[in-house]
Amino acid sequence: MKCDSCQEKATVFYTQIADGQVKKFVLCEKCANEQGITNPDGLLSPGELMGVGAGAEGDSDVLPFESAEECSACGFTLEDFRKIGRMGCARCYEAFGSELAMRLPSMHKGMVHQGYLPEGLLKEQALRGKVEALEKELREAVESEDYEAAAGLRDTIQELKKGGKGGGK
Amino acid sequence: MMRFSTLMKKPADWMSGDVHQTPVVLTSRVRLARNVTDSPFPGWAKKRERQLVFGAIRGELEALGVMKDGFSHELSELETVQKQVLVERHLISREQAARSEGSGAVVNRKQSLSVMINEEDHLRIQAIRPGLELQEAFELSQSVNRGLESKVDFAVDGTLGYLTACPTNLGTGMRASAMLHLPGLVLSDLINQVLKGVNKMGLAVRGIYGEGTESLGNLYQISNQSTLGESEEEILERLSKVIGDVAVYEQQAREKMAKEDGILLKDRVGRAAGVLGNAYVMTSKEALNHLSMIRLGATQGMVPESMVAVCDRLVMESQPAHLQWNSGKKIEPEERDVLRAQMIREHLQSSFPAAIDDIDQSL
Ligand SMILES: [Zn+2]
Ligand SMILES: [Zn+2]
Repeated sequence: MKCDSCQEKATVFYTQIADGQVKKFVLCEKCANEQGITNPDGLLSPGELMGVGAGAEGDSDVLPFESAEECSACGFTLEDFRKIGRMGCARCYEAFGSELAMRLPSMHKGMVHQGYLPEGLLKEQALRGKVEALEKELREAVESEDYEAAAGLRDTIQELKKGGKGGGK
Repeated sequence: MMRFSTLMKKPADWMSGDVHQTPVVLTSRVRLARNVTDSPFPGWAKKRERQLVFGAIRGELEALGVMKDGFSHELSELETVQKQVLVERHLISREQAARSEGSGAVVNRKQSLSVMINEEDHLRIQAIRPGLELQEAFELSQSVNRGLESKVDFAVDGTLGYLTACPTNLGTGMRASAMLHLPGLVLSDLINQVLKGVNKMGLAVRGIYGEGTESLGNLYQISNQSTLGESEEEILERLSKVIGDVAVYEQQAREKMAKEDGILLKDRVGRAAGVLGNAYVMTSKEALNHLSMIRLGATQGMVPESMVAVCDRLVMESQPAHLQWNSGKKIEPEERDVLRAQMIREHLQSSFPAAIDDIDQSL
């Protein structure tokens, strides 16, 4: 399969949902990066992959689709999931995120967990929320060309991220 | 460690049969699904992987204070009849009874907590309380979860919550349910209307015994369907509210029947007592339905209140595996009906003259 933007081999598969329309497209690694689709850390949570994370803004969410035919952790395939409706391992939730996203609304009241979380994860979640809020402020500061504030915000964010990693489990 | 025979002799603490606590809602149950991060889910794991998970989790569970001196077995160590008995006691699931190596159960002494290891998920932590006590059951199951989470790495995501083998359990991983005895609503032909209402609230209803829409012994289970998008408290609150309402409707139906159709109700209870006290061959269907009438009579002052506990115990012990285990030998299905009738006759003989007298005196 060839990239939609250039003629390179496509390795990244996405579904874009905007205004209720579902568009599927394929890109090579380079073009995907240029369009800012891939996460630099490659560590999106399954929820974020599905576009339901706190970071999802506006009416356009980007979801990877069929990015995996198979879970790299356990070898369970998308086909298996479609057949039996169960996952092979916890990591399958990342691999088959968009397939899952289509099914969740008919199963549950919501798409985001509201219940109990272990303490470590609660801290992580709170930290993620704080960082996201600061990042928004940072964007606004840059837009209004308040570079002094932006620099300060950037330092705070970096510190928080560092502290978060050290403070984790 | 608790032996299987001890477990059989000791009734579970939720089988108290206190009529004031359990006139309609017999038991409340909460189960939490949990998985470890670094091994495939049991249905996809290789035998070796399952055994490793089983060994690790079993050890941690046995070390927990709440599970001290409990019953702990790999299913491969148990005879078929023993596994079936555990199923009939709701301590393990039918699905799990079919498994063997690398799958097992740890049950506390009171039988109020049972943890299935390597059923559909690595762990299914289940707590049972008598009456309508969903919140208490949740806290009990949560005590096991808390005790384990510092020692075992559970698969949990900030957005999707606890990751489970089946996405229908995602999020809280919590299924809460109550078992209700609803003879008043069934006899008044109000049951379908009420159950439809429960369904509309996003809750699931099913008969406990019998297949399809048939519910033997007028016993029903109401549980939550959705596990993601609401907190445990929200789910439990809504469920408790709906179950409490159903219990009120049931009580009203019983009172109305006793007031308006007293002689008919008395006739049903009396006939059930007559059959149970004098039959020599009894199918489980017949037993469940007659015991249901005696239980109803006991809550309406027609037979002694103590009969509630007797009925609940007989419902449990007249099941096939319990009959076989208590008889100490392999029995054929026809023989089972004879043994069932005998067991019920023997249990009831002492309480029955008084019971029949009471039926006569009532109203
Ligand atoms: Zn390209
Ligand atoms: Zn997997």
